[in-house]
Amino acid sequence: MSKPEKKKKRILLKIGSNTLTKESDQISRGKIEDIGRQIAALQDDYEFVIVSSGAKVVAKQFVNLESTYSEDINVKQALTSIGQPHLIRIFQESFRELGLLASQCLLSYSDFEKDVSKENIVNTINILVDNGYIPIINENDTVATDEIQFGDNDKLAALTAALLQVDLLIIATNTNGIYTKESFQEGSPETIEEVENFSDLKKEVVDEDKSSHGTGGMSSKVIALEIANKANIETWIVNGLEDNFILNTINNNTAYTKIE
Amino acid sequence: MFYVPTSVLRMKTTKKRIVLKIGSNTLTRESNHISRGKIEDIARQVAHLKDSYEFIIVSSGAIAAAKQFVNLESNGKEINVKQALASIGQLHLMRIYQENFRELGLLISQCLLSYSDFKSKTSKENIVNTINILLENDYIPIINENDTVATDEIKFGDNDKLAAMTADLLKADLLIIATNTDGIYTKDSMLNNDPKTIKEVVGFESLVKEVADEKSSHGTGGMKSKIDAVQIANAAGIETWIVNGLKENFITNAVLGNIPYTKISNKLN
Repeated sequence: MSKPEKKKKRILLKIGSNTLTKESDQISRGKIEDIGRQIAALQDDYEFVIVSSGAKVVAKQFVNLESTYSEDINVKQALTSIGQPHLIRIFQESFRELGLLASQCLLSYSDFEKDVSKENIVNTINILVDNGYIPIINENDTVATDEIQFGDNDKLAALTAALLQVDLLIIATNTNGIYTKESFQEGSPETIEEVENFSDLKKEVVDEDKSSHGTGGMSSKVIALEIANKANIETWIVNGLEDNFILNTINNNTAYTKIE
Repeated sequence: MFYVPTSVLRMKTTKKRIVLKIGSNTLTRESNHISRGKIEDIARQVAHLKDSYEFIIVSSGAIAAAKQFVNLESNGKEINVKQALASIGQLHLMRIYQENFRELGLLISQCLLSYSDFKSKTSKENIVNTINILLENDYIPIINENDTVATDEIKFGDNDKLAAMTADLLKADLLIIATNTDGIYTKDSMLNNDPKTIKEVVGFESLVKEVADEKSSHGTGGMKSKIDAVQIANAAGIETWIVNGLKENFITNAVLGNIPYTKISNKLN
């Protein structure tokens, strides 16, 4: 008799450009491997949906390598159109070596405003996850204009987490979670470990750490937290630069911020 | 010796702009697998013609690619939902394009469009702007419908229509629809089992009476959807060719007039 399948916890993992590049100008195969290994290690108990930035960074990297024109391409939409196939190819190659399968979902802000699109997204992602494919989500930048875009992938991640009713939203960034304002200003940052009252958190946030690659920064994390909080989704802000950052947070071996 | 600044070289925008629509039947050579050979055939022609023509490709095949890879790498369970298949297959399809095109010195990029994008003015401007920049920088845009979010009520129906609407939006000089017949056959010749290609018609109306509809086995298209696409392109003043993509060198041969295909030219010309 086969064991009844136990219900897996569903995690939405948001990976920013700073994490994916290890704060460089190139996508890090090592970091993607690190993420893949952790997903593989956790796959009996957790199922993952990934929201990944990085299309623009990888585009710049490849445009530099392969383009005939030395001039830079500076239009975000064109860059992501070039970068997204590279990004997803790298995920696919690295994940496959670990026995993991990837799939691509490009979403627009307007998709979250229509009931039929929302149902379709949920349905598609559920089928992918049920069949062992890890959905890798990004904003569909080709068609997005400033007026109709998410702003950044933190918000996209939170909206997706709410839509999919995940058990946990993990936002990987380049700090050990959120630091207390006082400690940050004194130059010896201390992580806020647990936040029970969401409004307390807002007072603590310092927005001096806009990331160099992404469009995010701490204030965009707070907007994301607000969305997740409203949808009753527990959120962790973790340091994606560390190896094994997911495993270590689950085992409480590293400093991160938990918002329940 | 003289010096030509890149900015001048980049002004050679007198290239004819072609939107090339490739259906699943062409891409798979009517099999259950994406054909690297067919993609190479397309790339060689694009490379050969690139001094005089710039290409935008509307490519089907994500679902065919997904089925192929789900069989190879999954736990054997079949997946039957189109959106999920497209989500799996699109990245395989793009990877194969990228690998084959790069070997011939061609660079590609991906644009996934939704029907609703063609209804919003800002999205339309954005699509045109993005694709123009890609072309100026020698990246070939490969377009497909964004199936993850598309539902029956809000989708193009098939890529023939998407191709025609894209050709219109981008003011292409020519729309080439690659399918598995030598263009459109006359109704009589089809009934007599001896298909004869309609070589040239002027305007959409003259075409309509001549059409017999046989759904193609892979795509969602069939001749009817080609006709709908021609109607859109014709209304936008864009010449359309329906060619047999299964043949080697189908674009260069059509350009040279070496193979039978159907040309629907513009009434105004």
